[in-house]
Amino acid sequence: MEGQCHFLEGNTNAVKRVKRVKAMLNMVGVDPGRLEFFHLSAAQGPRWAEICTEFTEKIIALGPSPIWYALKKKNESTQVEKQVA
Amino acid sequence: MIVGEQKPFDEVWEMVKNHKQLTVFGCNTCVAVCHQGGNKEAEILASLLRMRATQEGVDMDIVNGGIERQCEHPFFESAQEMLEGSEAVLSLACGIGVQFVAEKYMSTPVYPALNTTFLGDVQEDGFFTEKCQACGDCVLGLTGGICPVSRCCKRVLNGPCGGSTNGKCEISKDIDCAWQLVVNRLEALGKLDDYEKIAPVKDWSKDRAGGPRSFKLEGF
Repeated sequence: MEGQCHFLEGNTNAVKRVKRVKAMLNMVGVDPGRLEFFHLSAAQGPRWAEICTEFTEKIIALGPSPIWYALKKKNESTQVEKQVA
Repeated sequence: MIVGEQKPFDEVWEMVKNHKQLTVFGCNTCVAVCHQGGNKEAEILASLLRMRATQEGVDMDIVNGGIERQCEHPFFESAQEMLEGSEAVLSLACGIGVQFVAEKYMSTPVYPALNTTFLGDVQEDGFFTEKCQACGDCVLGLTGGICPVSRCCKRVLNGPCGGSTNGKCEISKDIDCAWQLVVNRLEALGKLDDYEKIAPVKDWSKDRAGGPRSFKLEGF
């Protein structure tokens, strides 16, 4: 939980890093909502399951990222080139 | 240390997007301290550039690496093969390092990923302030360790000016009046007599104003 990290400030530092990475994702056109940070302890099994379920649903709703689409397009055009050749 | 700030990502992309191969090259000394240009930052920037290249359908092979300092020849040995095989280099060093790389690899375009800003210190994690302007004629011995060249907006040498108000500079209330700081410090040191001494006209020819400078040790 917040403030109870075994590494003292580890999870506090992680919050700041996740915020920075979200800004970087935004810079390259990826929805920053695809990355989230949650505080919870090892004893919170049911909450962990809840977070996983909710986040998976969120990502499914968002669909593939623009990077995925771009890679797919690139792979398809590579295959077409091979077929033509 | 030298402080710099990463250029806006779009500006960096515009510089490099027409190359088929790019080496993103970090410098792990000054600009790593300010978390802008170190080898870790080079890795992150390379990753972001790969994502942008993928999204825009640009075919670019982007590799990343780095060395301890981009301003000294011996440090380049470990990166020689990588740099010789580069079509273009995006250097995350300060302006010194960018130029050094460009001089070493004259037929390779070298781009700056940072705007080099000032010589400064680390007041606290993540907060850097300008403290020196490399004027070539240091007066810190007379001013109790407070630099009137870098910290006084007007570079007044016998300050303060008439704009000093409540210890703040007339340029901005966020800027301390350097001469107030000088007086405070000299008072604490019991050296207020030094404040009464009139500083002579500074020899600005030793500053950048006198042209690009160099320094060579004899018999080295």
